[in-house]
Amino acid sequence: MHKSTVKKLSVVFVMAAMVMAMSAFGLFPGESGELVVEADSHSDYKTVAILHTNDEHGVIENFGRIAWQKEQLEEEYDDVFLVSAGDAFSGNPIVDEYVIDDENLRGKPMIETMGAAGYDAMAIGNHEFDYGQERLQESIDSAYFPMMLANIEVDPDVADMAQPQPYTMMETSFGADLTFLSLVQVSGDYPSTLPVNLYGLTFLDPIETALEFTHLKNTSDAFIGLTHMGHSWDQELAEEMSELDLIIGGHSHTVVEEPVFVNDTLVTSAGSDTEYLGKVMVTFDEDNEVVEKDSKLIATEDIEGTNEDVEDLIAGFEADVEEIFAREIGYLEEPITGAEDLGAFMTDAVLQSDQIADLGYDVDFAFQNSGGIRVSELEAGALTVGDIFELEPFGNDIVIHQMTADDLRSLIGTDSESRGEADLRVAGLNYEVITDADGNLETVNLYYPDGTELDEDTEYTVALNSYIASAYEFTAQDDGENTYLRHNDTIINFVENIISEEELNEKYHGLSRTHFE
Amino acid sequence: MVFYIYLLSKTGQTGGFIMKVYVNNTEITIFNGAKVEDVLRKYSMDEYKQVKSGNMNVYDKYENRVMLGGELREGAKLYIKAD
Repeated sequence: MHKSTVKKLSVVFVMAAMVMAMSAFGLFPGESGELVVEADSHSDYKTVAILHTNDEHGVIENFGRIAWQKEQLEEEYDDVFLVSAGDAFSGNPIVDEYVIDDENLRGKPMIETMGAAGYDAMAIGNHEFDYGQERLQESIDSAYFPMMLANIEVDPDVADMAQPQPYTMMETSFGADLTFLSLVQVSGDYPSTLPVNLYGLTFLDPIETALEFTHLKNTSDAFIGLTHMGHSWDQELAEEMSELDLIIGGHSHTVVEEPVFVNDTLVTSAGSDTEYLGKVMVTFDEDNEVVEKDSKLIATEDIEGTNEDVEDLIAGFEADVEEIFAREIGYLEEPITGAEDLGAFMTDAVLQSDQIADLGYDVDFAFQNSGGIRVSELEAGALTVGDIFELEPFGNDIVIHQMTADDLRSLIGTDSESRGEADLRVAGLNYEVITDADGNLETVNLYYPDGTELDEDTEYTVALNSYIASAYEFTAQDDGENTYLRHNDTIINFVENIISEEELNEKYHGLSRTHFE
Repeated sequence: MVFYIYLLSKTGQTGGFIMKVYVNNTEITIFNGAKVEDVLRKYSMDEYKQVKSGNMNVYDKYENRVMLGGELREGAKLYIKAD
């Protein structure tokens, strides 16, 4: 044998022996040549990928990519599951206003698209109640995946929804049982949604409720909290409930880039709006014991492929937006033009809202900032849902404050002085701002529409949009309460159900509720 | 009317509880149900615009980034930072 051939064979033999030895110890060369230990190097170990999103808020356009990513990972992992930590609804008019042929199907685009994308389970978040109980129940009934919530008690004699299932169990291909338990945040006594939608429902403390389900650990190889409470609550839950292997959370829109461990519980969350797809890897040994957990986030914009069937479904829903926005809610004989008249229209919608009255508020005055009026004119002709979303595209919530006349002066005066004009449009009230020659505020005079002055000692109930409530400087008798009613929904309801078409066409022309000099 | 609202607030039917949160260690009192963006606007319109434009980010007490639509709880601590 040639000497060089012997040398080559020796090298091959030594390398083969090294590879065998390295394999036996689970050591492999990494991409850059370094040695790495593979977590599942044991041949009997299995790794499951749990993909997750939360707070999707009507953003449907990324589900094709998410479905594709799931399919790709199914080639790589023993099993792949896809779950949502809640709040799929609210935030996109395609979803929120999905009324087709006068049939209320709000939320349907999300539930159908998530089903097509391969979702296996979803927590019911606070905004799942936004469309009312009947619509939520229809979503639960039609979803291809379970929608779950543990910390709720439904009174069947009062409520319009059934008791949801508190948890679901899934079995892996190798026989491991995964249990997902769902919880929602409670602020005061209720989750953050329209209180009027919560009749017949009692919400329980989420952590106390979770502790009543610790027995599920005994029948689970992996016990997972699929929660909608916010990241800090998730960390508290992990502190209180060591039985949980993993908590996948939502509500606070927290981007947990690196895995967070509280004791031995991995706690994670994937931001919001499907901007990220979370990926948790759970490795089981031959006895289906969890031996390792890790997590990461995948930016959905970096996912390189998409599922065409899901894309087709999304395209169908997006095409419906034309019909949704074209839905006629009223008719204008003449255009409504200018900030004064448009602002009067927008604030009258709040002042006269039966939805706000149903919450127990008797609103005296309503305000709208001119900068939040996003069109210069509502054209003559059909008045549509799309027109209202152009007029108020922000979806600002209505916030209620208790305010005296002096509080109102602080709101109007501070704003007018800084802008050099009367910026705030108003209903239920007329005001005049008087400044001196240098533009310094002298006084704000407040009048009822009949010209009488406001009482100085009365506390008035004042409705502001959430932008004014947070961005403007003013005093008040309280810190405000969010109604969780969106202003644009209030305007649509006003045109459809409150104001007559005759009044709509007569009233909003040449109004003058504010004066600045 | 005020008493009625008070009662509703106590029973939670209006969702009405005052919320105190902290931005860069400054206490902000704001309406219950306020989101991150509401709190930032009340803290500083200038910094809110910086975050909105992507020049700065908002982090929680665990140093996780939070997005503007995030919902908050009583006592939440937020920090605005340029990355």
